[in-house]
Amino acid sequence: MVTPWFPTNELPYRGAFVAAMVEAVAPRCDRVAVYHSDLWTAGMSPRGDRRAQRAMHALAPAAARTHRTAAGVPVTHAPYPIRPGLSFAELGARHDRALRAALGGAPIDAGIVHAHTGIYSGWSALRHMRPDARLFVTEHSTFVDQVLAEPQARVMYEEVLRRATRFFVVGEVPRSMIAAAFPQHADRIAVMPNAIRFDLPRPEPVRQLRRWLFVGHLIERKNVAALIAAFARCRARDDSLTLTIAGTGALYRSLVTQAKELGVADAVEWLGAVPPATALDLLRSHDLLVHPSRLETFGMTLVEAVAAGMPVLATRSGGPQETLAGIESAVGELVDVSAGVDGLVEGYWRLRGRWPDGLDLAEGARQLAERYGYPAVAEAHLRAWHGAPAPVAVS
Amino acid sequence: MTRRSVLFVATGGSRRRAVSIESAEVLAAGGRATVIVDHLGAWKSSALPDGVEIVETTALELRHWARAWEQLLVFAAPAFVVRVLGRGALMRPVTRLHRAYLRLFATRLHRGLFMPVYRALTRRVRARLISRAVLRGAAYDAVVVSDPRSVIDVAAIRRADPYAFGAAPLTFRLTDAEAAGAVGAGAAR
Repeated sequence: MVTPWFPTNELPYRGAFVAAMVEAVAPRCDRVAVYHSDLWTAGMSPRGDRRAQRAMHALAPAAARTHRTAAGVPVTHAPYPIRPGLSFAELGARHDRALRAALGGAPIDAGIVHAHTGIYSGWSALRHMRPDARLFVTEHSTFVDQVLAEPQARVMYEEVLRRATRFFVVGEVPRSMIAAAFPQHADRIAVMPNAIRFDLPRPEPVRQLRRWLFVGHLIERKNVAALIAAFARCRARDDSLTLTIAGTGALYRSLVTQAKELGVADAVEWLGAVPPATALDLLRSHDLLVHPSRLETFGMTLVEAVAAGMPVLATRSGGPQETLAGIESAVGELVDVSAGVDGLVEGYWRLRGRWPDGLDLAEGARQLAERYGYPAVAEAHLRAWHGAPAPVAVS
Repeated sequence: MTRRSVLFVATGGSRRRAVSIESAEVLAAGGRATVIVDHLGAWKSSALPDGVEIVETTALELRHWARAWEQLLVFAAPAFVVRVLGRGALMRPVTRLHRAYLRLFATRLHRGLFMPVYRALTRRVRARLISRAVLRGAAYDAVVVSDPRSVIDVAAIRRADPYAFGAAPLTFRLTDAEAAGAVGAGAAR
């Protein structure tokens, strides 16, 4: 696996979906190794940036190190410096250099290379594969349209699409963007969902929809300001409501101010960034996941929430209506992004009106497990890599 | 188990959370953690755990003659003059003048001209100051290079003296086993 995102101490939630995919497929493979090209951002002048790159090439052979995940999968952490404002093409090149520095010039020792994202790891994997290796790519990005708007990045992306044995996306949002840009490759783009754990029991079932939870980045796209506004309006009717926010981001300070101004500061708990295991614990100790995003390619947290036995209140932001197709009303409420704060407030009271008999979380979880559970996603990957039927587990 | 000693070079301060977590892991395992930062003020939002030994490079640099003279001429001497003259009826106008001097001249000169030129001309000095203050006579079991600025600093120290870090392996991140001191850092590769 080659990936630009994998959970680290600095960003413990970033790339949780890649870690889940690795965890799902590793038991069914002879050997799995992960290369994580981790771009370290720092405010540097172009000159400082060049110095940092030279210094990294001097240090990387000695300092790049392989760790093991809880499941025993080796992960080679390959950091590389960047400064803000670089183009996507340049970022792709930096991932390439990170991988080069970590590999010490040797090719990736694998016949199958699965890269996450086209422009970052797909591009770098192409440059470090053995000649006989086959490349598989999964695109997760919400910003594919921005990548493809850059002429040089578009050329790089096309090369990855052309040379990959199979090219996957996690949902319709990135698929439509890529297919529109490269209609000649549209029929080669297939959907490969993220893997979700369904085997962690909830200690106590949800009884009342009072403890709200949000898990994600505090960025514009996640629309957390609308969540806080909706929470304040709902709390005005029921002052027992609480909101827990797990995540960090550029909007943290303004959101804290907003909560104060709306008079709900004492009902909102800010946990900051949490590692994936803690996020799963949070899902098991809250009543309702609220996911007000403006755009999602998959909406992994929603499926994790249902797997954790909790209902969801989410916007139709692309991924959620795909991942929850057919079971929307069984697991919660979906509202239109354009409905804004009003939509979230009305959605919450509708959901409360239907709770608990109007939902069927157990059936929703069963159906989602068939689509996104570890065995299903592992099987889908093995079929893609080796062709059907999937080989028998060997390790 | 021997008491492990880990040096974190975090002069850029752009990955504070990771340094806080990993240094806490070292301390929790009974080890000793030393963190080199540029200036501690930048770490307010993600405080280092109690028990960590902190070395500030800005404090080290003040020992260098160029920084010491700059501090004396641009900041300390005018402050002395203000203390002498700023008494009685002159106190308010002199204090006001001093504030304007600091805002309009001294700070701009320091940040905009002196420090960039100083940093450009004294890269080896910085490496030498860090080496002297932190590495001389100390034996570390691992050296964690934590951010892009630290990559530059550690590479400069190694260029100046390939044996500056002794036998301590460099790493970008401690493995769990290294933090706990269960294995030698080299064994984790």
